[in-house]
Amino acid sequence: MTQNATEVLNIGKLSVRLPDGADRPFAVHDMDLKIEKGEILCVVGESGSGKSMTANAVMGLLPKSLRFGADHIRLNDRDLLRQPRSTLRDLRGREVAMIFQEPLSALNPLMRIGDQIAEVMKVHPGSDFNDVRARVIQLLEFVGLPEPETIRHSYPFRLSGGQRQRVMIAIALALEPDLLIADEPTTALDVTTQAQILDLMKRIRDEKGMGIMMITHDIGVVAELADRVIVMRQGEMLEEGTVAEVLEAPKHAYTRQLIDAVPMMLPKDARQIGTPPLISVRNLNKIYGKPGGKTRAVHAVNDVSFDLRAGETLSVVGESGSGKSTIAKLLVKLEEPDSGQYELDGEDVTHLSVRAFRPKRRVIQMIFQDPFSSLNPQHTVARSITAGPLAAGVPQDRAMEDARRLISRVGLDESALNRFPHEFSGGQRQRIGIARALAMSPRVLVADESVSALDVSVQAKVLDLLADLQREYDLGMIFITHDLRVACQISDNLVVMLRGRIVERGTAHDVLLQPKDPYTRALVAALPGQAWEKRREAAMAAGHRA
Amino acid sequence: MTYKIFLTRLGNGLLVLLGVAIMNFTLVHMAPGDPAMIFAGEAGGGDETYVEQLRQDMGLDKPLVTQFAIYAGDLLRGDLGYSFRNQRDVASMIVERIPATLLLTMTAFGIALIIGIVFGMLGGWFRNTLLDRGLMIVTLVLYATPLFWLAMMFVLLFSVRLGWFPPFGMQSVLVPDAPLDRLLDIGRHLVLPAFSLGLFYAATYARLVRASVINVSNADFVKTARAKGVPGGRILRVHVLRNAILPVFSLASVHIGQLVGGAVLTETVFAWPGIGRLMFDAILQRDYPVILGVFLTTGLLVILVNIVTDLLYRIVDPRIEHTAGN
Repeated sequence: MTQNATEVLNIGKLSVRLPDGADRPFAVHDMDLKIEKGEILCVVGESGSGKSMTANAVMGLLPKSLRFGADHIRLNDRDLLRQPRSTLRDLRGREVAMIFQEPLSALNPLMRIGDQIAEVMKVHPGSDFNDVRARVIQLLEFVGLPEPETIRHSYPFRLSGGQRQRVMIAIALALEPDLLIADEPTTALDVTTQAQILDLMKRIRDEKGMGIMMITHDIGVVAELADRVIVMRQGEMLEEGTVAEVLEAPKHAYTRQLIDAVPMMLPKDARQIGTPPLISVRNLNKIYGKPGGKTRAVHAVNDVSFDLRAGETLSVVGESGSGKSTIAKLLVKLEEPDSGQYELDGEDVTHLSVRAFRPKRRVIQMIFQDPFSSLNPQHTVARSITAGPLAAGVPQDRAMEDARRLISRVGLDESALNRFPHEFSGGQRQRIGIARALAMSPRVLVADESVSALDVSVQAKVLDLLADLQREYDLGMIFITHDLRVACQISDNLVVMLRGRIVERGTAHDVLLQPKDPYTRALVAALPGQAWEKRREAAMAAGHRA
Repeated sequence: MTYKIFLTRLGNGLLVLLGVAIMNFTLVHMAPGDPAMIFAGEAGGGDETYVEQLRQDMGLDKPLVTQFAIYAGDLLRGDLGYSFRNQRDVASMIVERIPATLLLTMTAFGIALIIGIVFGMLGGWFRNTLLDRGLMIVTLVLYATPLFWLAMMFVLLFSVRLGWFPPFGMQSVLVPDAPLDRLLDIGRHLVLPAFSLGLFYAATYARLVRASVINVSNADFVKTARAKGVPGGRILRVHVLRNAILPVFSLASVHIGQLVGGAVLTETVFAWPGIGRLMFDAILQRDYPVILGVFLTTGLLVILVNIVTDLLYRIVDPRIEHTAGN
């Protein structure tokens, strides 16, 4: 069988077997895939779809406990299945390279950046790059890092997440391999950083002519970057085609479902709510560390004011370090403000002690980001849900009755109450977290990145649930998120934060569709897949007219 | 930056040393037993006046605070006191003994580190293999065996039965003349006590390093190294081991103090003429100035070693300075 000259990777019938007792026999089943030079192939799917397994199989990085087989895995003109281990090792870095999701932990903390890049050349003798130092500088410049000479001598902890991901890319490019595998490389990054990294990937494709296999769960990223797309679910390849074919005329129902689950940038109609505010915050300040002290003081929340009324959703959006989570902590009194005023349900609670605030906790409840660590693994679901009401003096049988009502309200079976958190999926756990918050019959919910850890289809369902519950109980909701699309879908009003300050506020419609502040504009502009989004909205509008 | 930290640590160390001095002084004087009585008793008995006279000579008749003030004043002048028992200056007794103890503990410490790190590294890298299981059983046995018992078994086996090494002392009775022969002689005497002291700690390090190697092997940056095509041996050396060894530093600084304590037993069993033996004898004899001197010296040693490991840690882990200053 002769191979197309421009083909970099060709996988035939790849299967990865899961250990006995797993929920299905194969992590990846009968996967066919090919990538050409100068092409970006996006492999998209939700968690457990087998997309990372496929990438790791190519790299020979699968855990030893997993057995895999294939007709062939051809990299350039070599079948990787028929190479000795030493050759496979040599090919890694030379012909195929990989970057990962977590830039913060992907670099050796005890090794200088320059040495980590140079190591690729060191372990591949006979490469074309004799002057290692010059090559390192050249790479650092190519990936857009400032002051390469300084960065070269730095340790990873000095660099931000985005900078570290650039270093990872520099390492991957060191020997100009033909194939780059990128496993969710922008998932852990802020949206503006993500946009820069995506641009860099396009440059690598265009200037170096490399083939890129991009693994992602984000349809926006697919729309922005992909030439071709493969959709995977539970180890099976469902659909393959050009980006236009897959996104605009999906053949498989699951693909359509994935695309529909992406929140649209269509804000809901702003409502006028006349009731007095449930929460009123004026000139709130929180500074970590003492100014002028040994450590640098961080003004985490700087002169922040806002109101929240019953039935209203106020989104707080911003990138990491903008102070949005500190606001959540101040509102539920996990932190004390340095100055300013905080009124909850008509009462000034700014200076209430933790003890005096306790009765007020019934009014305001929080839903956390990580559904895996926010429930005590040793407690049954029933115990987690009833703990709050019991502490507030609700009798045992009434608390249990409420728990049964709530658990079915959030869409779980009553039998869930007697089980432990590890028996549930991420989305189910987040539903339990919501039931736990509702058990206190609060009037305000604070949701801190509550859907960020969830797959997009699960996320859509949890967002729907939150919207329903809000209407049902007339809840005020503070929704903290970095995801503008999610914020757009759920909020009435919105504040944008940058370095502790609110830089823009208004209805979701005004802020997101006609942003005035330069930072908000940059945020909105950085959203991946906007061209696709416009077409999608146009198609929707046309559909409505028809 | 580093020298500033060094000075702060040194200042803190001196404060700790003062605390050690006060605590030792009060503790020792609160313990039952009157040195004057023991001294008089061993001298063949004596009447009240004789004991009283002894007390006055030793300064034991003065109030405790005054006694401490005198003691502290002497310390500042570098005077550790006078041992009436031995009719000698305490400082000179300790100085004479320190090299032997340092030789023993540092050799033992080196043995502990080398064996511990090698065993731990092998066990962690080849985890759940026969090699790993074997090594871990050996370390468990070493760890569970009392130090003095291990020491006596060593003497029985290697000295009495096999006759490979001398059973006690630091030098042969007939000290060889040639310097090289003398060194070799000391070396042969050193083997048994150093190993019996070192192996116990080696077991702890082996288990620590093994857990640490397994932990680091799963780190993302090890996966990065594999993706770069770095060979396995180099991954272990350059990426895993350097990171895995960091916790050893923290534990080692604690252990050095314990090692000196452990040396009391070892030195007693092997009749090693070090500071531990001196302490043992002094306690039996209620020789306050010597006890205090030894306590203070070991305190000083521990503080110095801690400062050194602290500085080393800074060199090995570049992140420390950052977190300390941020």
